[in-house]
Amino acid sequence: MEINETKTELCTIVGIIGRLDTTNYGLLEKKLKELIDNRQIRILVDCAKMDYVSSSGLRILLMTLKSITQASGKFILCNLQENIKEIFEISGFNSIFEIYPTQSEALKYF
Amino acid sequence: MIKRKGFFRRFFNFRGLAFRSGCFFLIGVFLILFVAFTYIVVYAAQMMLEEAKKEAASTTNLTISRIVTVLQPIEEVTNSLASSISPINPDYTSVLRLSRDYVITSVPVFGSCLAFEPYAFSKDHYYYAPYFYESPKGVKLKILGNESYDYFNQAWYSLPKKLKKPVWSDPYFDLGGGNALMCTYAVPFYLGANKERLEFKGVLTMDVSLKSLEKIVSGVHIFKSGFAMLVSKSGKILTSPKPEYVNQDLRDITRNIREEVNNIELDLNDDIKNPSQQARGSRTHVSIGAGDSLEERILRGEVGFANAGKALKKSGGDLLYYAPVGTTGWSLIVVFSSNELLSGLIDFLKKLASVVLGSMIAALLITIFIVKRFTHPIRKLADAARLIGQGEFHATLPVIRSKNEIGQLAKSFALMQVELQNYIYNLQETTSAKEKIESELKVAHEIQVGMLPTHFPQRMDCDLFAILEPARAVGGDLYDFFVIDKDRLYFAVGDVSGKGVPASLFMAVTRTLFRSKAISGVPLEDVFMSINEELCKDNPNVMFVTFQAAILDLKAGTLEICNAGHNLPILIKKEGSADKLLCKSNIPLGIRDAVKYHSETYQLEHGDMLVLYTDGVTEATNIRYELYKEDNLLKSISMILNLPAKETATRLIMDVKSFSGEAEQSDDITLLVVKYNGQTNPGPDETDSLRLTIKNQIPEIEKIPETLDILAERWTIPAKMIMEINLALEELVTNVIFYAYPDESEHEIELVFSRHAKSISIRVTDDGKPFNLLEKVVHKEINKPLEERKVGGLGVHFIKTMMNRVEYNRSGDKNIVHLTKNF
Repeated sequence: MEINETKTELCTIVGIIGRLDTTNYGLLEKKLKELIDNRQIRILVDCAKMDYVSSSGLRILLMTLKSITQASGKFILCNLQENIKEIFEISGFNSIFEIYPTQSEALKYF
Repeated sequence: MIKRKGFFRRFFNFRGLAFRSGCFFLIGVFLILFVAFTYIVVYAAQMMLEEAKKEAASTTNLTISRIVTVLQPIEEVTNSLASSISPINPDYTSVLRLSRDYVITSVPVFGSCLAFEPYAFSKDHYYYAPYFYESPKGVKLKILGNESYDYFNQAWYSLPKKLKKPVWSDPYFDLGGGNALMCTYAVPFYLGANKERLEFKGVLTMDVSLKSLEKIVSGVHIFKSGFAMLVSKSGKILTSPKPEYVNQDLRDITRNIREEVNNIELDLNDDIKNPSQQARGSRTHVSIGAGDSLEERILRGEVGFANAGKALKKSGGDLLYYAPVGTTGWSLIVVFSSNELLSGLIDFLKKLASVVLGSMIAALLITIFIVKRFTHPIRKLADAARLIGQGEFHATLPVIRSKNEIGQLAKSFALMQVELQNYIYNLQETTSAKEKIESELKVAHEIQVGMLPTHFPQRMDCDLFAILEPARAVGGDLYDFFVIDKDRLYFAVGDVSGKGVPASLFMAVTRTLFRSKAISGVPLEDVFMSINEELCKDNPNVMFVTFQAAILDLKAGTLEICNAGHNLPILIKKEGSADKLLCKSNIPLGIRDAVKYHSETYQLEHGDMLVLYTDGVTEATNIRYELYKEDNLLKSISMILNLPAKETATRLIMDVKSFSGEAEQSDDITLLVVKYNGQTNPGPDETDSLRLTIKNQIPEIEKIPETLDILAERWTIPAKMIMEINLALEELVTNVIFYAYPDESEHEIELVFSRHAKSISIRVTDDGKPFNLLEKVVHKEINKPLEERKVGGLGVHFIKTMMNRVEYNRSGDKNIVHLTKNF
């Protein structure tokens, strides 16, 4: 998995590329924690290139959502692949997260 | 020009022995000479000073006697005239006449006066002083004394009166009389009947022009600019070659000079000297101000020699000689410069120094020349050594016949050159021999590699792959395979004894024989026997080959194998067990002719795999010289069951290499893997399976997607299904790794994937503590709002949701989970 980071005026866009699983979720956890510690609590996660996620990865997203909500920030996901969307549905996460089909649409909600 | 410079450089090689020894020698000589010169100079200066003192003294005395010669008659005449005045009945007229005559006759005497006390001459005259003096028109008489010229207060009158004795006055400029600088000798005269009661009545004076003395004094010359001065008792300068000093006070002049010089020096001091030195300077100044004892000594009429110090030295003279002039109370001072006194010496020293310097340079040149002559052979040797160092081992050495140290050095050097030539010759021989061997090994290697088939069969019913990793240019191993009659797969592995070209040729012969005999279709035992016969026929080197060949009937799955002293192959059954195939061993080929070889036949099942290898595998060593052995090979095989032949062979070789690590490979490593797949199209109920073993470490989880990728291709599973299986397995294995092992030790988790007609099943086995994931209730979490949501438990939910069937069994000390996913 690779993570890239783009700063815009509205928010920080975090792109996840590849597989987010038990072997590498720590990298994402570290990156998001770093952003929150730097008071960047407006984060958009672009999942266009994320082709796999397991419960370990979801756990990080949930924890981040909780801490950003508490800090009155905004944490939005976008561009979920079909498979990933299904996993979100099975886990019920689709009802907890704000998810938009495209990045441009997601940016409107910041 | 360049050539000259080159010569200069070469001659004055500043780092060379010649220049250095020359310099050291000269520095030594210079130091010695310096001490000697210093002594001589100090001694000579002292001597010269003594001489100068003597000269100054004699000059002074001579001058004084000349002055006295002039003054003494004047004193005597005046004294006798004064004493001729009778105390009782004075005859002034004759005294006046005689004194007038004296003025006329005596050159230095300018005038004469007989001055009386008030009313002493007559009761009518308060002032009475007839004065004869020389004028251009001859001697004239003038009566001195009136209200404007009260001679009673003049020094020439009052002093003799007061002191009651003859007195020389200080010089003065007589405006009224002679218009010249003069001084006066005045003698008092007394009248009275009784000798004890004589009464002062006046003075008789003689005016002396200082010009006459000046001539005498200015005639004094000492060295270049030395001069003499005449000083009166009170300190007035009577004569001096410097007109501006005349009639000045000696003390004023010296003080002025000192102050002036000191002021200049103090100004300089302000600029360059530190305060402590300034303090010293001012102290000097104070001592000069107080040190007027020299002038006092001179005026007291003492005789002496003095060094007036630096201050006066700058103004022309610092050395003084002084002495009184007769009874006049005057002193004569002779002044001269120590610079001039020593100038002769300094000139001498300058000449001496230039001569010495010249000789020293000459000595340096001679020294350099001599040392160069001595070191010339050494430099020649150095040049030769440089040439030899550059590779010209036959460079000509300089011929040195002398038997001194340099000769010995040259001899050793020549010996060294010979030794070096021999050594290089031997080295060249060795190197070329080595190169020959290297190239031979290269040829052997090329023969070996060129013989090996590299186009592996692309068939559905079997999968074959072989790897030969040659050790450094050693050609001994071989493998071969070919298919005859469409479904008879021949394959073989061998290892020739020996190395190099003979071994690789022997290997080539063996392979050619195997191919030619096998293609004729004779039984495998006969193939072996005829190869053996051929190899034994012409084998002067007594080489042999351990050889193992097999024929696999791809339809029936029968395997006929014949082993001539080779390592036993390993059979991996499709369900996972792996062990050596204990086939009967015959003696290696090429040892003895007329030997019978026996083969054995086995039945293979679909999915069975056979691994043939040479002892390069089992005898691979690591840096601790430990052998890889069959145990490691079997263990490595058990980890990778059910992969294609190529992956299997590659992974096995990699395991051998990671075992060896840095250790050099000592023998060829050859590995041949054959997998029997049987009929090309598996039936609907036919199953295929693959086993994966992973350790209880998180990074191992990566093997799951890797294996699933292989299966996706092999079993044509859709991507979505693969992802779902992956998700379920990841959650399951993560659970096991995190919770099943309370101890920290290493465990293995086995995953066996099976392909069924309508489903994929996965059996996951671990030896952790009992854990039934089905007992975990998780459903209720799913619909809770964010605040109450817990992260745990999601994995089990995924497993249950993604899979069509999940079963749990505890069997002995193992947890076994069966997952099934339908197509």
